[in-house]
Amino acid sequence: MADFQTSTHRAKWIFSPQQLVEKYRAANQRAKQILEKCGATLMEVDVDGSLSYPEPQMTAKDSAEKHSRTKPLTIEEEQCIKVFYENKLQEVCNNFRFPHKIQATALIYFKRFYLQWSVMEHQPKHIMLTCIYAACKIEENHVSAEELGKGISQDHQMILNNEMIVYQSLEFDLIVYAPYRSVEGFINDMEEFFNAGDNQLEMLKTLQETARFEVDKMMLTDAPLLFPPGQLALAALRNSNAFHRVIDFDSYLRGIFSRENSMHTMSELSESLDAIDSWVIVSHSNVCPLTEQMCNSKSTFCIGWEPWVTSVLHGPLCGLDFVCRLENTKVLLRRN
Amino acid sequence: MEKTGAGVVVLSAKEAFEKLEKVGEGTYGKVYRAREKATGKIVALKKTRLHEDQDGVPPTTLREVSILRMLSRDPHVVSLMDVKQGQNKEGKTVLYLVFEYMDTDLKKFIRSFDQPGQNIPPETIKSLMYQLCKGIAFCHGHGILHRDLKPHNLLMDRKTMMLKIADLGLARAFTVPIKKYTHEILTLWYRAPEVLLGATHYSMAVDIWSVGCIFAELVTRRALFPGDSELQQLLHIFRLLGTPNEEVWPGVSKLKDWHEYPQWNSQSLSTAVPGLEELGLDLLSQMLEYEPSKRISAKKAMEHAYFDDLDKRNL
Repeated sequence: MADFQTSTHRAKWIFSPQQLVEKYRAANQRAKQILEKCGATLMEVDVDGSLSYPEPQMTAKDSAEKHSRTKPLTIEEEQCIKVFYENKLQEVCNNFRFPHKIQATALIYFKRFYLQWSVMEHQPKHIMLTCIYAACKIEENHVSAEELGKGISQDHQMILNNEMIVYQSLEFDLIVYAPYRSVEGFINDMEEFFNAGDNQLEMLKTLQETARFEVDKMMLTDAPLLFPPGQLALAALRNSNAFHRVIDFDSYLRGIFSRENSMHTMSELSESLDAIDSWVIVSHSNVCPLTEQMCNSKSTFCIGWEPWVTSVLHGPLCGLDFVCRLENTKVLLRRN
Repeated sequence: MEKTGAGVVVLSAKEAFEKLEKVGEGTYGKVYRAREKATGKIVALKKTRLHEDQDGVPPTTLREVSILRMLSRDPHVVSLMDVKQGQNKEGKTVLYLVFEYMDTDLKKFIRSFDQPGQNIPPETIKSLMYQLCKGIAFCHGHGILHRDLKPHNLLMDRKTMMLKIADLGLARAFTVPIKKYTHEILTLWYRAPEVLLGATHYSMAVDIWSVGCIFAELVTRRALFPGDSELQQLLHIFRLLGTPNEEVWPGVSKLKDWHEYPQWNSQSLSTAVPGLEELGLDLLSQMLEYEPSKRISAKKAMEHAYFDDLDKRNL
């Protein structure tokens, strides 16, 4: 595909854990300040795509009243809401039978959008649908906004209204790289490397299928914002192989290093793959009570941020403390 | 004026630019020469209407912008400076792509040599062709097919004779193995035979065919294959290069739109492109190879002996 090495994805959208924390903090902080000033945070997106914050409260009494009802979300609570909508995004794409590439692209758009904004400022439900719509366009699988809206009983005008703010927040860097393609590439390479016969070809197919499920899990964490897609694919294949025992994975990695003029060592790569595994495990083990409650509720979509959200959230969520631990251990996050 | 979440003030197109004149019209809107108020810099504003069919930003615009975000660093690809939002007189939302301004394009440049016997100097042709190959090599090196190369989409600066590739609305990032792509693309005259014959798996070679057609046009100041329908286009090609068969192009008869065509033998390229030096004819013949996998790559074309005597320092 278009070359990852020279892409905006690599140059601008792979972060260190600390950078991610700072971005999430900044967006959350800004929304809190707006809440204090205005008593509300959701931004109005006009038909022409222009944005406006809520009007400031007229009196101190109004403001105090509003505050008694509305508590801002913590960063961890925001993470939970995002995870919920990322699950929903996958669901919507599956229901529409969109190719995997669209789901992956939409997820990456959604993640990048909420690096710039808080879920208190833009309704995740709307942004999720707009990201799917944008991904369909960019991946040449065009679906009309009306069709998409109808399919999930939503007003398609909302998708169109949010379209420009999504593109601007993504800085129009719309060509993205997901690990699925890399998994396919590595499997093809393994076939050659191990000179696979018919039996082994079948087993490699199984390996690929399981690896795709592994990638699905990774895509619901911050891993795509922290690691290059090639590394995510290798980590998925390594986990898949640990289960199926199809190939000698270490010898394959050694083979890669003997062929490539890499500036990195095999142990550095292994360290990165371990970091990905830890990241995914921690992210998935901290299942958020809010996410569970939302997923179990009968309604198809939650309405974004509502005051009741705060009351059902508690405990250490989504591994933000882990982010800081990761940063402290200076895990190598190679960018190629 | 609009404040973004980060508190940055963003000027609308109307506030930021003063339109000077309309310089062209595209599929989705007009192109203006304009002055940036803050700096006095002359730019090109490409206006795109939104919500045309209740479907927001046209996919071609999105592709063009996202691809230019990757490619704009190259001196032979037109530089996208900014994307602005605005409103037209009817209050409809419009999008402005802000490009560096170039004062002409290759189509106009070729037309300017309109007197009989007034040819484009061979060294100018060589320089323009080298720049074109260099720009296309850069696109292909980044996994981007242009898919609509023609003289009108190649911008030029008359003073410096600098050439830049523009109009990437039909461009796309390609994958390996190369997927099925639409074949209703590319202006007919510059369209590769595999596309005309309905191939849905195609690659960088489609751009090289277009480059070859442009090369010949620079020399003769006439389109090499000026067909007015897909069939006529194929017949133009077959008359000059011979009707292809399985021997010269394995798999050709299995292409979706292959039929039995009149049988022609190939002519010498020098009859169609008189005045082109021997090495130029050799390069052109490699660009117009029937079998896409045998067609020369842009990178290899840059290394061809035809360009050996060209001063490449400022290109």
